[in-house]
Amino acid sequence: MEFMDIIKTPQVENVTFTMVGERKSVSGTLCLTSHQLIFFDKENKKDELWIFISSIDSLEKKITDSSLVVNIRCKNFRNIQLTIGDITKASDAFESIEKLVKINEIDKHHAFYYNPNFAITEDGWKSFNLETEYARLTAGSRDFRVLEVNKGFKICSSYPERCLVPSSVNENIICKSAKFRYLGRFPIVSYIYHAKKAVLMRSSQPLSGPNELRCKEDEKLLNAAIFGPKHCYIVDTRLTNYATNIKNKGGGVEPSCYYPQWHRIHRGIENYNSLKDSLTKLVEATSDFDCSSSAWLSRVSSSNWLNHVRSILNTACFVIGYLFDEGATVLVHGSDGMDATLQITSLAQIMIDQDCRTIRGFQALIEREWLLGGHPFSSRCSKLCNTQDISTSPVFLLFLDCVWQLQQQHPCFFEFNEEFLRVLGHKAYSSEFGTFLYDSHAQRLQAQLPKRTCSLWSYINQATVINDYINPSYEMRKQIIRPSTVPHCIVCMKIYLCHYNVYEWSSHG
Amino acid sequence: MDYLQTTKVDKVTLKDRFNPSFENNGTLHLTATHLIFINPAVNPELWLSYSHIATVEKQQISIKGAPLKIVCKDFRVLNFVFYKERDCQDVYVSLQNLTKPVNYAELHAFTYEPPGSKWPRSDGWNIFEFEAEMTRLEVPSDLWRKTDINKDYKLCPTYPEVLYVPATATEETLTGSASFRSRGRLPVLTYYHKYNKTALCRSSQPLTGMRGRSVDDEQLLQAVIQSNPKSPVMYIVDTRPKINAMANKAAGKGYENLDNYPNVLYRFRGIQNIHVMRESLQKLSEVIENPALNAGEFFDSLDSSSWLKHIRSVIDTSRFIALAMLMDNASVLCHCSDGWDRTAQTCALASLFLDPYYRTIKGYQILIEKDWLAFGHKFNCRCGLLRRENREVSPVFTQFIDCTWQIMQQFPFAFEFNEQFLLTIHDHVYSCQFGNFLGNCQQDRRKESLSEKTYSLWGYMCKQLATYLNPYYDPNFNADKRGIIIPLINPQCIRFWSGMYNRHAFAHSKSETIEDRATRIYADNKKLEKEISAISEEIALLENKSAEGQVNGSICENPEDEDENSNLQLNHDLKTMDSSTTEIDVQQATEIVDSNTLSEFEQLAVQDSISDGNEVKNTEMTKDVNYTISDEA
Repeated sequence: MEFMDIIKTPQVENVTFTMVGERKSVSGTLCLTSHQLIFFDKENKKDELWIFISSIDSLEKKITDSSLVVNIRCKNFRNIQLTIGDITKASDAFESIEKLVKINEIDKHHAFYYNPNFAITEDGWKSFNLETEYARLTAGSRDFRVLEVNKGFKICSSYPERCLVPSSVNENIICKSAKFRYLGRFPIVSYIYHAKKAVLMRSSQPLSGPNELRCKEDEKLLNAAIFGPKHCYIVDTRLTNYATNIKNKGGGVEPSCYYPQWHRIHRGIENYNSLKDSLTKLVEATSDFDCSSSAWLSRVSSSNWLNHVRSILNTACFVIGYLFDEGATVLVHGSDGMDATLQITSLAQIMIDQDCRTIRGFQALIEREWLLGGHPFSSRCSKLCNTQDISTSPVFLLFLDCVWQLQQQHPCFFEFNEEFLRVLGHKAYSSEFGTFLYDSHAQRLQAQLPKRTCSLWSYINQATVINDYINPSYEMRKQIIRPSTVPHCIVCMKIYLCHYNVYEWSSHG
Repeated sequence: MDYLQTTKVDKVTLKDRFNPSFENNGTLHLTATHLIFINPAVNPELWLSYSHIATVEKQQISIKGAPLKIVCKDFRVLNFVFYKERDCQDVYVSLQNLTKPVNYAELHAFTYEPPGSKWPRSDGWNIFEFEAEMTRLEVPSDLWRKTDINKDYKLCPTYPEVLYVPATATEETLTGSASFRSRGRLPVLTYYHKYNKTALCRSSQPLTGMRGRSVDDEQLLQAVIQSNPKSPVMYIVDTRPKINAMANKAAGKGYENLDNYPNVLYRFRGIQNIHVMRESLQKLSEVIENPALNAGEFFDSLDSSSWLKHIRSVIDTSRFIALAMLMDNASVLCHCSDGWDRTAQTCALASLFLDPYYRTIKGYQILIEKDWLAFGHKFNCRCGLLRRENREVSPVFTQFIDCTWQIMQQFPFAFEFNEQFLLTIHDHVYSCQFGNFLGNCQQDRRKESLSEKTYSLWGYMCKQLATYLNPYYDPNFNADKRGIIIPLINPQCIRFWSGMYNRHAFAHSKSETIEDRATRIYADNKKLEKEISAISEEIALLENKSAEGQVNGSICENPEDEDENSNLQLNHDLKTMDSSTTEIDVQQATEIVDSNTLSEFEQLAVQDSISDGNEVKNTEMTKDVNYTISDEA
């Protein structure tokens, strides 16, 4: 279907535009294009506003006597209201917007039609080099090596082709281990804490099933990563019950008899499915400005969002405890190893490694852990909330929230500011850049994104742009940082409250 | 000293609620004024003034020993475990005796001597004068006049001696109105907004239930309306919920009958009374003390304490008053029941919104002096300073401080002072270390001649002003709106102040905040600026001298001397080069001081931290040069 067929009315006059929460209205003209709604005030051109179709989370219409009201909820937590006088034209416009929003094919995505309006001085698709990144992680150690074991993405479709593994294992071991792991996500080295020779690894669940099958190669692979003390930890992000139940579906846990050196710990991080409801409730709470104090507090509480934040941070603290305090090797996994697992491993690195707290280092972390680690961005971020789609979940947003909490508690340890996190959050959900498109590195390569789209990093790393994301209080410090997870230290991230920035002189009485 | 059963106990453990594995063993000392806990491994020592102790409670003895729980008025909770039960009992009894003094003379303020460099006792006692403040507010004498009808506190014992009333109100009217108001607290001026000539007046409730009406009181309010040329009406803001006001009517008090008060708009605002607030804080304390809550439970218990709801209602009412004066140009009379709790909160906050002066360090102290101390907030009773019945205790002033903090969160550039300033005031209201907050009204304080017998908190604070400065402060904040700020009151904007209520829980593990760092940069800049100006002065001085030297040198024929001279010339060149660089630094430093938005400030801070190194080097270089010159001179 071509865009032109969808857009029935490219232009609607006499539209009143209201940013809900700011209590300010402007009237003007609304234009529909294939990827944007453009709103402008003909007389004084300064009030031009662009809304990407891809940033619309949901919309609904209400017909009143004299007009049609369109409520648009955006993925950046803004709510916008359009009041259109001409009802026939308005219905046409509404229908067109609705159809545009529903287009799901990634091929039709905005990013493929975007022409950067800035000169690309540094190609973001090339700013991250996996080899140098691996070299930085291994720091010259011969105990680890990079193996091109996943050539053609044959053994794991969501891993990169070249993986970092302990030197003592060969391709055969890895292939066998991959068969024993869900989606072929075999244990891979995520971070090395050189001071104590402790390794942070991640994988998906083993396919031990109800009969507690074993895979000797998998055991070998894990044991090859033990350099320090002989006791190690498997941090399973799921509750014991859940992990046991899943055995009947072929999944499960590492049977302790076959992994005698590994101590398994279960952490009750809720499945990614429940996050969406939490966020929906939280957004509802934050967008109701006239509620009572009590309603606000009880809604925040019942959304359970802050408990998610807390349990993620707590688990990351556990990992830090093993890795940093005990010097023990840790394996983290949940079911797929591409949601909670990535949250934990990347947070642990932020706490322990000062490089990850710089702007470039954080980008590299996202590339390495999230984009190459196979977090399915397109599926998870197709909508913010208010959707039935079960693969949608604000996993990445929750991770950014956790980073923000760390930042709040240790403000001088981060080179980037809150705005940087906010922009990453928004761009993951809707963007003119190709960086967060598709569900895996393999898909991105296949779609030839570097040729066809512009990278988010090309934009962010421009000298003029990056300035806005620098935290002036930053001092490079090597210390490890740990968050406090006592409830009063976990606060509601400000981006959910973005519509409160306005200075308001409303009437009273 | 008779109170002390013991003065020193060894083998005491102080438990940390949030970090149970941390072993803090030490020795407990009881002195005449403080409880001190010393663990040589932990710095600093713990010093706790007895007047800060709210409750002492013995708990179930376990194998580990006899626990004693001390809850403080600054929301610190101390859990001691004694090795011997006997020791615990002794400390318990001693603290029981010590923490509830009966007479003023037993309070710490009468024995307190500032440590180290002393200052005169009178410091800080004279910062506030009612007349001076009214002059600052530019109260026009044709509309409002000063009266000394309350001389020797005859008309109203809990008011100041000097009062400001409408120019047209006669002394008879005032006397009549006073007799119609609860405790004689008649409507008088407390704040004047000169830009639209509106007045904020305060009083207590009228005795309508008993006396029906008072023509004098009605005339006084008509006079208030006449004193405002901009509006034919005025507001009466009754801060209470309507139902409370009606209940008071049955007790002989109540609220104005509008039939007798033409041109008056009446508004009930729904701030709860002192008893509800006390219970709310009680519940909040339980939240604070419980480390086992998860995030959801924490919000639920916060909700059930209603504390944030009450904070919001106080801000809401104050905002209403400010907007009525601002948008409707109407004068406002604010009262509650006695007019010394809710009225003090809302009048002070409304003034804080309208007048940027009250957001400076001096101004905030003046505000407390005026609306809290002069108009008789019963600090003694509300804060339980002397052994009294518990029913009178209520966190009214704590709420005011909390509200101020909430406003600071919304307007970080509008305040000269920081969080520490608020915490210090709050702490010392309870510490009884200074005389300011003793007694229930100005008359009490005069009677005890506190200004001669005790030190003033303001005097103490002014010795360490630097610790109270907000690095983001912009004196011209919102200047186009006359510095007026109107806060948001959406529940999302009212926050739990962990810096106050959980201050002591994580003191040891806290990371440096941006404010700390900004303050550090700010202080460094100040120091460098000073150094720069001292050096520039020195340079100017030496320049003069070297000019003279050159004149002398030209006469001198000695070749050795000539050599020295050229040397001097070289140094001089070097030095002028340097002085030009230092000038740029001064400019940069002043720019940082002047910057008025956070982002600008932050950017400049970046520049600064980059240029910091250079700056130091420069000054060092100039110093070296100076040395060589002064040696020769």
